[in-house]
Amino acid sequence: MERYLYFTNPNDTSAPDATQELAMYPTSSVTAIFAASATTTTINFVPRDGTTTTEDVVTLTHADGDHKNVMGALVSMINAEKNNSPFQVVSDKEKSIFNISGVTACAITSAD
Amino acid sequence: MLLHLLTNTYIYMKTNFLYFRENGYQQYTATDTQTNFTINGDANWDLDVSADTEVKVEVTFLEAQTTKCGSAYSGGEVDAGETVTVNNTGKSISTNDIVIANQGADGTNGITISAGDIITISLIPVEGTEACFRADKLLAVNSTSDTITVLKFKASNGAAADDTVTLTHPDNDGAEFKLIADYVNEVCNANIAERGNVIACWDKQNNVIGRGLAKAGVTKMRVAIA
Repeated sequence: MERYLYFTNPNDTSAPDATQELAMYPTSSVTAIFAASATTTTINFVPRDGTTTTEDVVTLTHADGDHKNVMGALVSMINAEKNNSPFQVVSDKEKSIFNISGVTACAITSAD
Repeated sequence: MLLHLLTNTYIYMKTNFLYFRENGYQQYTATDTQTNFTINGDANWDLDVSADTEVKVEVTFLEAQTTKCGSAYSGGEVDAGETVTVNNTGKSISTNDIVIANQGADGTNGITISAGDIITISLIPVEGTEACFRADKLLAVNSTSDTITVLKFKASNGAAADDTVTLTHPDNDGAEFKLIADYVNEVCNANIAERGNVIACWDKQNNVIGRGLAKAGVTKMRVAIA
């Protein structure tokens, strides 16, 4: 059995249902997590379109300089440290659920 | 991955993640009218900054000021202990120094520094300044010179080029390489599965340097994302 990270990113106030508004990735597809700007951290995933060069990307927005905390919390979720659940909700923006302290937004980029 | 035990208890295999952060933070207690603050050099950051827009410069005033601060900052009047961020027009770079414009030269964006003011200069995070790599994506640890050892991870974006962590250390006929290799082996195989959090290998500005890297005398660390 695999563990999964769940993200939603509705572009408006309606329920997320469009392309790049919902995504779930197996944790084994995480390739790296790195700072992208002062207030964003990027998670790279193995691309779902089968190419080798266009990675799927989820970008989390957080407080200035808070990357280390976000990375630590993400790894904790990847390793299901707290609840041993295979289904980890990282961001459910529609319901204002962000399970990493300080994260306020999520963006999904997926080529297919 | 999951091990299904005979007892129907599920144990999730956990992955070590290695955390690296380039050193890019320095604080100075200023002298009166000081304008230049050295950030580049072997004793300073892990990387050399080439543009003032790569850094954030903050001034924390020792005393209240009414004539030394440009109008862009709290209308030109600041309180004791107040911290302002110098805007891009108020700072520049001169080779290895960040230069804060004098208020007399720029009444809007300049600040005339007083003795005891605290100047904090920090690297603005961008791709490559801070990263977390999967231990199981490690491809190799190899030396590229007598003072450089490189950790290569499979590219996180699928590119042919790898993600790299470049370590600078003294030359002692390969002894440092062995220490670093031992350390990498140790952290990749560290049995911290129950903790499940990141392993901070290098976060110099927060005084975190992995034991093996410290033993090897590593002085600088650079991250490059493919």
